[in-house]
Parts: sequence; structure tokens; C-alpha cells
Amino acid sequence: MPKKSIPLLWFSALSIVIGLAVWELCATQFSDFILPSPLSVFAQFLDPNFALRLAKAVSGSLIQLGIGFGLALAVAVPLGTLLGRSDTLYRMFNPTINAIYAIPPVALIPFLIIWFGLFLESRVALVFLMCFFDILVVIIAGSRDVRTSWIDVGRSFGGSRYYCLRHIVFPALTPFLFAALRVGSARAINGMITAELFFAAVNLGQLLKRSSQAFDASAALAVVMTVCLMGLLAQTIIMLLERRLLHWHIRRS
Amino acid sequence: MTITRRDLLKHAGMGMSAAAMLSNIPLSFAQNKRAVRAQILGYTLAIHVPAIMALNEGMQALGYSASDMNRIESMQVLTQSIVAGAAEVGESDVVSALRAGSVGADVKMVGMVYNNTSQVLVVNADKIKTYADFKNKDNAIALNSTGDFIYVMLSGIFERNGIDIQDTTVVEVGGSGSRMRALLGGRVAAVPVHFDQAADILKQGNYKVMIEPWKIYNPWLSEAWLVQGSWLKNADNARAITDLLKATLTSFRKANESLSYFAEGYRKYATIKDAKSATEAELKPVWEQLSKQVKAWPNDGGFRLKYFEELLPVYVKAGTVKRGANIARVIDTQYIDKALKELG
Amino acid sequence: MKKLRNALLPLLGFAIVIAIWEIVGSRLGNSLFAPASSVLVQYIDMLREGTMLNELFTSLRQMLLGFVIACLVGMPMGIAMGRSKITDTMLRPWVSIFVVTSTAALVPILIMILGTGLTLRATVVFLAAVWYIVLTTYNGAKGVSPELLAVGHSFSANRHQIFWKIILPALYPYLITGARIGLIHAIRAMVMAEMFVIVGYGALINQAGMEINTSSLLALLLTLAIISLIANAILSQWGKNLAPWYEQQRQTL
Repeated sequence: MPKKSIPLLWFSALSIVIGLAVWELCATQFSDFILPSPLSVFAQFLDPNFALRLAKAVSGSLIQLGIGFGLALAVAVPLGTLLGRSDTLYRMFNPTINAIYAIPPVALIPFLIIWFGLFLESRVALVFLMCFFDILVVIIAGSRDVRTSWIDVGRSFGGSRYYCLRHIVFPALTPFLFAALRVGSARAINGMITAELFFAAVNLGQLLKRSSQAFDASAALAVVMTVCLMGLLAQTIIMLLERRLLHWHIRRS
Repeated sequence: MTITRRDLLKHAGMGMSAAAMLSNIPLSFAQNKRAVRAQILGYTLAIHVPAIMALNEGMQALGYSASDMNRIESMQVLTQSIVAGAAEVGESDVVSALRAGSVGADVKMVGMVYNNTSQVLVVNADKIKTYADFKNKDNAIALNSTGDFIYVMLSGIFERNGIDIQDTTVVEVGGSGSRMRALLGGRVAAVPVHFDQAADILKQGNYKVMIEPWKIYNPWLSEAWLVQGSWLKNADNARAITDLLKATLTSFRKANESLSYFAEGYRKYATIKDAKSATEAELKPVWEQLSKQVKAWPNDGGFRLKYFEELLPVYVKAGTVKRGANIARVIDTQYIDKALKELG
Repeated sequence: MKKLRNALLPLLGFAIVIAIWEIVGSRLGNSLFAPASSVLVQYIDMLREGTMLNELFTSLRQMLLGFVIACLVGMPMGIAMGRSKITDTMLRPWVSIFVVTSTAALVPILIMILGTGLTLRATVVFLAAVWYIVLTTYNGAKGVSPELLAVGHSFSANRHQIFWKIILPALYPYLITGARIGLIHAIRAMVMAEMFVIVGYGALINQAGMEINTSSLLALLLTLAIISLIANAILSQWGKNLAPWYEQQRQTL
């Protein structure tokens, strides 16, 4: 007789409630200027004035997110696959990639300003920089992970190099692709708001800055929370996509 | 390895004689001297030098230990951390402090870190020839934020020259390095910098200094010592603040009189490249300008409620402080008055 | 012969990149993007002067504190989330929320709560690195193939053995990638936090950012790149020592 399983959604809800309770507890220890209580932050979302500004800001910020992330994927996935499959190219350029990967993008901002200016182009560039290398590293690792034995099987069935690439390497890459999407989307969203704090402040970054200046900690945290929720949404979308496409990879419970 | 009884006695003997020696030493060494915890800006320029010397040498002369100085890059974060009680005293932007007070934060300004300002507006001379050129949308001004004293200052000066700052393109860019690169890379047309930084920029091309605020405003208030109101209620803290202000006044007076005092402090504390090897001859022009023209270090501290009241309309006009804000609540002159009296 | 080739290829890659750098730098000039030659001169000066390396090692030591804690917390968390649906649903919302939080937005809030000392910097490093470690490990843990597990079960291995002998080795590439990505983010976060409180290596970068001549900034960034290369090499070598069979399985087409 199978045990009646509690719907998993309840656990998510429980976890969120616990988190909010912890926050509320911490908030009582600090003044409202530092850590406002969850309720005052939620109240911000209900204020129509603020909600409107927030919505406009989000739609503005999404533009550089979309372009930057899309570009990064378009370049990193093919490049990563190639670098993973060709030992020569890998050994030539992997050290350089790791070297540049270590440089904090924030330190490169003065150069981005010179090359791309202060507005959309530079924000897209920063989003690109912030997620490109993360995606690339994961794809390279995945591409190199493809087992010789699998390729051998493909070959023994008379498969050409192209055939092996398409029917063995790419499917084997898919779990790594999703890992890259998870990390990459997180970095891209991070880059989206960092760009708006370090270049000309617009959209969400400007809203955050203005709230901080007005010492309105609830509004500032509301902006931060919006970004966090965007992250949650992105991870959920990726998870749903993965479930549909990758049933053979995920362990059946 | 076990300790023998002989060892024990030997150590005890040494310990006792040490204790005997210590008891002869004056009490001030045996006590822990207080070190004020101060939050200062990430950079220390010429204009800041006397105040920073007050925090260190000045306080030491009054019987304290050198202050525990923590640097914070952003003035906004610095002000917020004082509101949060993360340090005892902070070098804070006057406008931010007034705003904090007007939303109910329990903070008080007690004295000036320096008077007026050494910031100038450096412009790309190819693009900006007159004030009217700022109306051109392509000529942007890069500032830290539209809420700080630079913005207020510029808005007032523009107004006097017939330009409404709202008609100009102001971009808020965090980080003075980024702003400077934006100017050098041709992305913006004007950037405020301290005049000791400006010299290097002028060498890079056709740039010129367009605005020297101290020639227009008199006085202008930029940075003040900020503390939490509740912290002041403790008598020891009130004493410490009065002593800090005494140290600041003394340091101001010495800086005005003696180039070598200023130069020594500059070499020790300034965060400009090559500061450590700056000679008195090199520093003389900067010193004279700050002391005599900018009047950055007034012998009486330059902290009067009436200066704030005179400047309030400018702050309100720029939209950084609300009309009718009660600024007197945030300004406490009793400590500087006490310090002045004690110094004579 | 192969060893010689393997040693030379990275050098060739570097040579190409440095050549590009020199060309671009010469065109733009010192104040916009110093070429490799100027940076080299500056670099030797800075090495001789000593501050750069001193501050670097101090900062790295402090960074390691946050990073190690991030590994100790993040790896088990990722594995737990991958193997247990309940843990996954409870923790995933929080991981998704925090991974996108921009360090730049978080540091001011943390300064108010934690001050400007070592606790702040270790916390920032921890918060920046841990989520990436969790996400990468999680992906690996979810992906352990049912076939492998079935083999373990059929040999009547107990859960303990299954974990150590089957799951952990299969997780290996994800753990190493997770640690590498985590380390990069730890170094970046260290620099970012230090730029906010003007301490250590971040302070040097801040200062260099304000100089007209970009040589010193580029020199500092170059050192970071070199450190990352060394750290990567160390991690990879450890990996090879722990699981030599892994390298043999991976071959290229």
C-alpha cells in the first residue's frame, strides 16, 4: 500500500514561511533603516506608485538581460563544444580562458566605459562578460566528458564524425547545457543589476540607488527582492524545460 | 617535557620582578587608552589632511590612542553605516546627513571635516565652451548621484548662469575612476574632481577647469563629522567628540600656519599616487590655495547653524531636501562651541 | 613528443592573446588601454616594490576562509538536494533567490550589519561562492544514472557503499567544476568587497582605477589572472590524483 505522499508544493511553502519567520526575527534586532521587517517590504509592492515604477524598471532591465544572455549562449555553446572536442585548441586556449575568467568584471568597468559607453551597449557587454565564461567553462567540461566508449560504439556502427557529433556528443552535452543555463542565467541576472549600478544608473539600479539615498530601506529591499524573484523564476523555467527534455538523465524516484 | 619546580620558581621570580617594574610606570600606560572608531572615505586628498591628522596625532596628543579608521568607498554607504551604528563617528556628506535626519534617523552633525570644497568641474574644452553647451543632449555630466552635494552645488551654479540643471544630461556613475575614464574616453563632457586630481587630467588633452565653486559660494558645506544621537548621550562619548573637535580645530590652525605640518600629514595620509615623496615645494601651491583662497580650514571650525540655513534653499531647490525639513534637529553646535571655549 | 606538444600549446595560445593585446593597446594608448609592453614595465616595478604581492597574499588567505566554508556547506547541500526531492523543494527556492543577488547590491547592506572587518569579507565571499557550488553539485547529483545505481544494488552494496563507491565518483566532474567556479567567484567577491571597504588587494585596484595610466590597473588584473591559473592547475591536479581513471575515459574524436 503506497504511502500517501504530501504534495511537494507544501514543502516549498513551508520553507518560504520558515525563511520569512527568520527574517522577521532578525529584523527586530535592527532598526528599520538597516533591516526592515518582511511586512514593510511587501507593503511596498502594494503601493501602486512604487509598483508602477518597479514594473517599468523591470521591463527596462530585461532588455540588456535578454540580449546579453542570448549573445553569451550563442557564442559560448558552439565555442565550448569545439574547445572540448579538440584537444589542440583546448590546450592552447583553456589557460587563457581561465585567466580572464578570474578577473572581476567590476574591475573591467572603466574599460567597458571606454569601449562601449555608459548606456545599453555597455550594460549588454557587462551582462555578456558576467555569464559568458561561466557557461563556457561548463560546456567545455561537458564536451570533454563524453566517454570514449560511447564514441567507439558510434564509430563501430559506421557513424561519421558529424554523425557522432550530432547523435552522441550533443545529447551527452544536454545535462551540462542545463547546468550551464542554471549558472549562466543567475550570472546574467546578477550582471543586469550590477550594470545598472556601475554605469549610468537606470531602471532597477537607479530605483535601488534612489531608495538607498532616501534612506528607504524597505523600497531598496523590495528592489533586491524583485531581482531575487526574477532569479527564482528563471531557475524554475529551466527546471521545467529540463524535466520535459531530459527524462532519461534524471533519476526516477 | 615536564616543568620542574626549579623552572616554576624561576618563572615566578621573573614575573614578580616584571610586575614590580610595571607598577612604577605611570598609570596612563597601564590603562587601555580609548581609540575612537571612525569611518572615513576611501580616498584622502589634500583638503582632508588636517582632519585625518586630528583623528590620529591630534587625538593622541589629547591622551587617546590613534583612532581606529575604517575606509568606505561610498559616501552614501558611510552615512548609512553611521545611522546603523557601525562606527562611532563618520566623515559624512552634509546633504545625505540632512536627508537622513529628515526621515527620522537619529544622527547629528557636530563639526566640519573641512569647509567649502576642493572639487572643480573639469570639462572637455572641445565640447563645452559656454554654459549653454550643457543644454546639448550629447554633452553629459557624470556625477556620483543626483542626491549628493556636488549635484546641489552644480545646480545652484548653473542656475546663476541661466541654465536649469534639469535641462542638462546628468548621468549617475558610481566610482570616480569610472567617471574619469568616461571623460577621457569622450563619453561624457564634464566630470567633477578634486583640484589636486585635476592637474593630471588637464595634461591628457584639451580639458579645462570650468567651475571653481569656492569662488562662487561662501561658505559651502561638504563634509561633516556625523554621529548617532543616542551615542552622544553617554558622557564619555560626548567628551570624546569634544576632544575630537578640539583636535580638529588645533589641526586646522596648525595647517593654516605651517606648510611643513601640512606636508608631513600629506605624505603620511594622502591616498594620491606618489604622495609619500611629495616635497614642500610641490605642495606649496595646493596648500596656499586651500588655506587662503578656499579657506578650507577655518580657525573657528566654520560650523554655524546659520550657514546651513543660508544654504537650505539651494538644497531644497535641487530636490535633495524636502521643503520645511527641520534641519536644526540634525545640527548640534554645542560641542564645537565647547571645544572653542576650552581652546581659548 | 606528446608531452612537449602539450606543454607548448598553452604557450602558443598565450602568445596569440598577448600579440592581440599589444596591437590593441598600442592603438588606444596608455590612458585608455595600456599595451602589454607598458604593463610589463609597470609590472616589474610593482614586483620590486612588493606591495602588490603582500596585499595579494593577505587577501587570498582571508578569501580562503569564506571559500572553504562555502565548499563544506555547498557540496553536501547540493548532493542532498540532488538525491532527496524533499530537500530539493525546500532549499531550491532559496538557492535560486540568492544566486542572482548582485554582490554590489548586497555589500552595502552587509556593511551595516557586519561592519567592515574580516567577518564582512568572509561572509561576502561565502555568499558569492556557495550557490554556484550548490547548483553545480546538484546537477551532478541529479544526473547519476539509474543504471549505475542498479549495478550497485544488484551487488548488494549498502547505501553507504553506494554513496562512496558509485555516486561520489560519478559526481566527481561536477564537484571539481563546482569548486573551480566557486573559487573564481570567491576571488571576485573578495576583490569586490575589498573595493568597498578599501582594504587589501581591492584597495590597490581601486587606487589604480583612479590613475590616468591604465598600466597599473592592468598589471593588478594580470596578477589575478595568474593566480587563477595556478589555483585551477592545483585543483585539476588534485582531481587527477583523486580519480586517475577519469582522465583515461575521456578521449577526443
